[in-house]
Amino acid sequence: MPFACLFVPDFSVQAVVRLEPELRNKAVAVFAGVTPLTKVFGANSAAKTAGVEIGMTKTQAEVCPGIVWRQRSLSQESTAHSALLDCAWTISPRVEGSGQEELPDTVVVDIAGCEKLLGSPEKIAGDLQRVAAEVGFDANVAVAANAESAICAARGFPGITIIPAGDEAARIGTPPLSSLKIPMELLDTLARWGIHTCAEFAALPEIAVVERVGQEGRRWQLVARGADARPLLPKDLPLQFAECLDLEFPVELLEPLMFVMNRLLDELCTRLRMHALATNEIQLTLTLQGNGSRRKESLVHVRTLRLPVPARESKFLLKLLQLDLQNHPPNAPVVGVRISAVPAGPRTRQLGLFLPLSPEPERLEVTLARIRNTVGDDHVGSPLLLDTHRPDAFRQTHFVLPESTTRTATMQRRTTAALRMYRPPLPAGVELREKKPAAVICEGARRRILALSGPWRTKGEWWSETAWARDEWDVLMEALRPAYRPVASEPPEEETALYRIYRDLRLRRWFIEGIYD
Amino acid sequence: MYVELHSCSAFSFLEGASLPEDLVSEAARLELPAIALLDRDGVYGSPRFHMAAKKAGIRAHVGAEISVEGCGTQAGMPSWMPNKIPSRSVRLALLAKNRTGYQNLCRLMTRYKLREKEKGTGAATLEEVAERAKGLVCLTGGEEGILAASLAQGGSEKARRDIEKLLTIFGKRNVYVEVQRHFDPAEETRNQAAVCLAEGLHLPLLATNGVRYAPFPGPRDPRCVYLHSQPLPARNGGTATGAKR
Repeated sequence: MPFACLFVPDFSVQAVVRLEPELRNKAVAVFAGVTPLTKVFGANSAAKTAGVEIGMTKTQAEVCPGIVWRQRSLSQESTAHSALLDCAWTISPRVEGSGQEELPDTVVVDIAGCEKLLGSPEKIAGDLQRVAAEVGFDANVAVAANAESAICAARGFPGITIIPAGDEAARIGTPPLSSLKIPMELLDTLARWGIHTCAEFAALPEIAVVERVGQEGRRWQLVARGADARPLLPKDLPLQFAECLDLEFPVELLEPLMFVMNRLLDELCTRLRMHALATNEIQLTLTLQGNGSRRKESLVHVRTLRLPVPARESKFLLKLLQLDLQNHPPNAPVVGVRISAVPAGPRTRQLGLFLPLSPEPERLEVTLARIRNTVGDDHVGSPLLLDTHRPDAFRQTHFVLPESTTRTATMQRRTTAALRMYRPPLPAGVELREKKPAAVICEGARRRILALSGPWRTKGEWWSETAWARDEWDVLMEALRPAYRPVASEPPEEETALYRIYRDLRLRRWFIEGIYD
Repeated sequence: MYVELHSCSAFSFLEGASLPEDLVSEAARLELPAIALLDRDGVYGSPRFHMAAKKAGIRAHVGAEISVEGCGTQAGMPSWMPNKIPSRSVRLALLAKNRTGYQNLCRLMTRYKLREKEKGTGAATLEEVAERAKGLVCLTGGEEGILAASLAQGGSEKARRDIEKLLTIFGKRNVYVEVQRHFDPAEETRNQAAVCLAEGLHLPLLATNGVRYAPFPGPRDPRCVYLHSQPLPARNGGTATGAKR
């Protein structure tokens, strides 16, 4: 009994309802098509009870009272199908999704060998139904010896159905032929013959069926008999998780948009947790309302957040997205939201017993995002020195907490002279004697150089427009700015200090770069 | 009379910029009687270098800078400064004195090249160097060398111990303490320490330039355009913003 099938009835409606849980107990119907050819594409059982039928025109359907109407969204159905696959992957790695576009509501799982790990087929079917409910689906589950019987049973019977091996023909005989998703032409032919159920079709002589409707008819007859033993076509695990929602009305304010994003992130994080994964990159794509121009392509606003540590907490991700959108708001009302997450292994960290506690990376990230909102993106981060001889060359990187490590006893601390840089460097005039600096004129005062060492010559990027070349000197001279004295009564004495001065060979100007401690 | 005994060509990819022929022609212009080519972990440029030198009437010496493990890493940025510059093994500058030295140098490099898992990561051990030391002369090198690394990591004492190791391997007559001058304060400090060490160990001092490129050819030479338009990307994927030799 190696196959389980997960089937979501009224899939187009449930794809909408899973992202709008407040509609769960209401009569909901979905329209498809463009005006004036809009027709009812799907309806849940409450809506059908209220009189809605598939294929009704919009005008006919709107007569029915108390129905919530939604436009069909292919992108929402696609992400709902991905969520359905995720449910199946929690049970087994061999999962077959819809190979055909018309079956996004069905997935088949190979559960051979799962009994020892997960329990009896009944328990596996119950687990599948529970996991589907977690992502918002009210699904039927069937377990059978072959994939097609499982699909047929899941489509034909509500709830959980377990078909013992060898009993397929008897069990799937009662549902109507339409539950097999037989092509319409063949279904019409069979209806003209007076064949309406699987059992009636299965009872027809095989050779006679082949003579009249060909090999295709024979294949469907094998399915109706529960004897079609086709191999499973398993899908690969996804490289990206995505959730999307098309909005009924354009949203201009951030708060309602956050409400929508919260739902999507909740679903996304639930799916990541199913795979025991987290994410280190989130991409938000907002589809914007057109500005009335004739351009057909839709406007989008894309924001990508790269996280320093993998995370799967929806509140944390929502806060980061909120702060990012406050800093980079879209320039038009939003009509569609899509959030995709690149999966990564969850963060594993062993805390040391005697190590000091460091801030939680998530809280630190939110704090950094808040600071970025205030001071700007380019003004937050930590410097990273570049592999170059250019003085003071660095680039800014994202601030990440360093790993806590115990300082080893062998680590040597060597004393080095610290250079306190003037930013920007102080322009100066320099008097030369025998091509060496003899005095520095800065801030209106002339200071004689008492001792010097140099020149230290560097140049680089001579092949580009950002070429630089300089001669540095370390000079001992009177201090530019006298040191602070707490006791004014002490007699002033001549202070000297060690400075680094340099001549920019391209600008042909002198600067004081800094003072040594 | 000056002889340049530490130069590398464009065969030291991302470090040298001039072809061996250009180095030779510049040496000929400067009327040097001889010049040595020490490319990184290989003698790839030696045939062209030798042929050009023969044509120019100057003597070409063969050698190589070989990466050595167990002697620390090259002197670079201190670990407490924020950087992602990977550490590299120190390199021994070796000159072949004779045919035996050339054979030993080639066999030494072949042995550790066969062992390397990724290109450019192989390094010889000191034991392997000791096995193949006959006929080779060792220079203590510039900023990539063992002396600079030892001084940066453990000061004069470590530098003395490491040079004594070299003396054990190559013999007292085959180790030269190298000094270079590129107007760099760190290098100047290193030179002063090198002079003290050479005096203390009674070793000869050797002045080299650590040549990385010859001056550009004339403006009408098409290679001039090439050199300007093809900046050297630094090792580790960055841009060579620091070329200064």
